[in-house]
Amino acid sequence: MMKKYISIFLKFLFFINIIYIILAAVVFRRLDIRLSFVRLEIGVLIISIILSFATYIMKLEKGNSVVNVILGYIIIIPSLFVIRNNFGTYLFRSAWLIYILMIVVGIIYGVVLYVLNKRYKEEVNHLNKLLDEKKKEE
Amino acid sequence: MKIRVEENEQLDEIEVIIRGQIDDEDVKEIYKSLLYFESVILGKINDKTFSLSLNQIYYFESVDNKTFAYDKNRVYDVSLKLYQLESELSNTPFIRVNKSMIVNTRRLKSFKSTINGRMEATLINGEKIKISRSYVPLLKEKLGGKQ
Repeated sequence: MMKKYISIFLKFLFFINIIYIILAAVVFRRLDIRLSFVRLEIGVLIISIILSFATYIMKLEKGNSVVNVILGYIIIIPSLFVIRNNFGTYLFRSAWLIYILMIVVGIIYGVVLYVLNKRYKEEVNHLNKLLDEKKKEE
Repeated sequence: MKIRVEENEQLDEIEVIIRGQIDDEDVKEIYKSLLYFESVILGKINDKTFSLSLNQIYYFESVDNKTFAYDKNRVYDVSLKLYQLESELSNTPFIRVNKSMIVNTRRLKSFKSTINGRMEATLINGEKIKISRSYVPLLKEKLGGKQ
């Protein structure tokens, strides 16, 4: 279990680091402000832990799958507040922007789930078709 | 294909002879099917040993370093490890579907996918087992599809 979680965590750590570097570069270019490296890295670590935990819960084989998916989304939300805490008004000019971002993240989450589900359903249909053909042969 | 049954009352056990070219796919399939009916695995229940035909086994499962064979009604303790069974049963309808299970594909009824990407299979006795995505390509091949 830990091995799987750490593997997901390391992947998120890599991508969130890249996203943070880009955001910090944008803030520096536009506002000429250097953000604290330590503070940003702590933010990256916290967000990676949150996102990898959300992914782990969503993919969990135990429990109700719909509940796991909803829980996965709820767990992601605090990471937006971490980003706001790290970049403050440099990125989030208005307070309501964070709520817009929550909705956007929710839409992206839903779209990704829909696309993945469609692919998995096709795979399952193919397997069921193969099973039916095998039974007919017997 | 010609199928012929020759009655011989002097024979104590069934003898099957397959005549054909050794490279023929049909010959290989017939051989695998016969192997499936002919092979047995020893299973134990309370120190009593049973000879289990592969045809009666639904799946093997590994729990706490022990391997168990499940048929329609009973659970048997099997001395072989899962990786050993996987190797021995490679030419039969049995296939590994997750880290701890080898299932008899002839006992599968249907497959289902859930919203979070989980895949499960229902056996003909109503039991549900989890299918790990990494084993799906081999499962497709076993069922006669391409990888």
